[in-house]
Amino acid sequence: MNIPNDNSFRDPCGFIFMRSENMLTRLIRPYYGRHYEQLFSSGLYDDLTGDGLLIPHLEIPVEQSDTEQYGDIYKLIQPEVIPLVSYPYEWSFSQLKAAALATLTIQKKALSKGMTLKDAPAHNIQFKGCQPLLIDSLSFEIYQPGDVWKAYGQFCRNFLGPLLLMNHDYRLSEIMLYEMDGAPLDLTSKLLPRGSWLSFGALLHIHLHAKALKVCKSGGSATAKRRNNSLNSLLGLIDSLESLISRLKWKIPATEWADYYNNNNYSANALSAKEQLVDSLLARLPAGMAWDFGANDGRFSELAARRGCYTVAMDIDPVAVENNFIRHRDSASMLPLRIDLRNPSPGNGWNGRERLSLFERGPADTGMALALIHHLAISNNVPFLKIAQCFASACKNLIIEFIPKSDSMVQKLLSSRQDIFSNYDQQTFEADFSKFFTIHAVNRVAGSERTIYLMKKIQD
Amino acid sequence: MIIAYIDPGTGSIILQIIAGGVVGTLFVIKLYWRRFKAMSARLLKFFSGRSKE
Repeated sequence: MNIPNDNSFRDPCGFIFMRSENMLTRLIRPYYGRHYEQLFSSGLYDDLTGDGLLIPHLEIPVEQSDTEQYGDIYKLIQPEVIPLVSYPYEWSFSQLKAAALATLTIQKKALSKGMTLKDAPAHNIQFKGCQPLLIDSLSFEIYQPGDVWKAYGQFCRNFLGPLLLMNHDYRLSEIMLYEMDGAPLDLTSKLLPRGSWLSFGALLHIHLHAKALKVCKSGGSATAKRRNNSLNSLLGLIDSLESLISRLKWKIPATEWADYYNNNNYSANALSAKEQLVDSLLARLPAGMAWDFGANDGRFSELAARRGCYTVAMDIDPVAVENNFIRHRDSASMLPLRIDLRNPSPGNGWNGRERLSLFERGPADTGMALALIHHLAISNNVPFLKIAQCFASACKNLIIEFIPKSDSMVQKLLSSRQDIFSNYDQQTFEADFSKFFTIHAVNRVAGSERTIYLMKKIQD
Repeated sequence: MIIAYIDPGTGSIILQIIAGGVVGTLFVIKLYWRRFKAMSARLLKFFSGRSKE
C-alpha cells in the first residue's frame, strides 16, 4: 500500500512518498496549484534556488496509476535529495542560528514577491553540509494584503526561544527533542533569566508573546480574524527578529572536549602519522556516506570529506560541534552534528516515526571511531561486544582505533575508579569485533602504542 | 483560499497587530535612515571629487 512518508502528512497541500525505490517524490494537490504557479511566475523559485536557500526540484509526469492510487494530483515533483536528514536537537547553536536567519531571509524574499511562508518549523530547514536550505517547496502561499505572519508563533517556538535558551544554558536545547513543535513560549519565558526582560526583542517576542497567548487561550476573537496589518508592520516584525537573532553570540561554556587537540598525548609526529594512516585506509574504501563518531572539531572527518565522502561528524560536545560548524561553514560535504553515542537520537513524533532515530538514517558506508573506544568501554562500562554490535548496525566498513590500557589517556580514565576491566585488551577487542566484522588491516600508529584497524561488516 | 494548516494562535496574531505599529515604525525609520546615510555618502563623495578638480 502506498501511503505518505511517516514524516510528511500534516499539510493537506501535498506530501512526500517513495514512488519507487530511491525515487523521492512530492505530490501536490490541485488546490495548491495557484500558489505553486505564483512561486514560479513571481521568480521566487529561481531567486531562492539560485541563492541555495530552497531545494531545487524537477517536475515529473503524472501517470494514470498515480491518480488511481492517490486521488487528485496537480503535479508530481522530484526534489533533490538531502544526503542526511538531521533535527534541531542535533544542531549546535550556530547551526540553529543559521537555520533561523535562512528562514527569515526566505520570508523577506517571499514577501517581496507577493508570497509568505505559511509554516516555519525548524526541521523544514535542512543542512547540505553546513549550508541551510528550505526543503519544503509547499511552504509558500500567496500573501493577502493586511494579513499577519501565521507562522510567527511557530518561528518563535522553533528558533528564537531555543536560541535564547541555549544561550542561557546549552543543555536546554534538548527541549526540542521532547516538544515536537518547538519550545512552548510560556516555558521559555519561565526558564530565561530575569535580565532577558530588559532586551526589547526577548521582551516582545517571548515574554509578552507568552502572556498574549495565555490571555487569548480561549480561542479566536474578532480582532484576531481582522486583516489590518500593514506590510511595513510585517516587515518590521521580520526585521526585529532578524536583528535580535543576528546579535546573539553564544556564551561558549568550558567543556571537556572543546580543546582536545591541545590536550591529548599525541606528539605532532604521531598525529601526522595517524592522519596519513587513516587517509590511506579511507583510500581503500568507496566514497559514499561517512559517519565519524567522536569527531571533535572534524580534523579526521576532513580526510573522509576530501576523499569524496559526504561526512557526518558527530560528537557529544556542543562546543566541539560548534567549532566544527564554524570551521567548515562553506562546506557542502561536511555535516557536524551533536550526537551522544551513549544515548543517540531516538525515533519520535507520531507513531515514533515522524523523526527517525540516528540508526534508521543509516547505515553509513564508512564509520570512523578514532580515540573513542576507551571512553565507551571504560568511562561507560560498555563491553566490546556491545560496541561492535552498535557499529555493525551503523556502518558497512569501520576504521577504528584501539587504545591499550597502558596508554596515558586510559590511565587517566582509570585514575579515579577501580579497574574492573580485566577484559580490556587487544585480543578480546579483536575476538569480539570479529563476531561482526572481518579485519582487513591492522596498523600500529608510529610513535604511539595505539593501533588502527580497517574492518568490513560480515554480511547478514 | 486560505491554506494555512497550522494554528497561528490568537495571542500571536493579536501581538503582531499591536506590536506591528511599533516595529513597523522603527523599520520605516531605519529604512529612511539608511537611505539618508547612503545619499549623504554619495553627496560627500561628489563634492569631495569636485573640490579636488
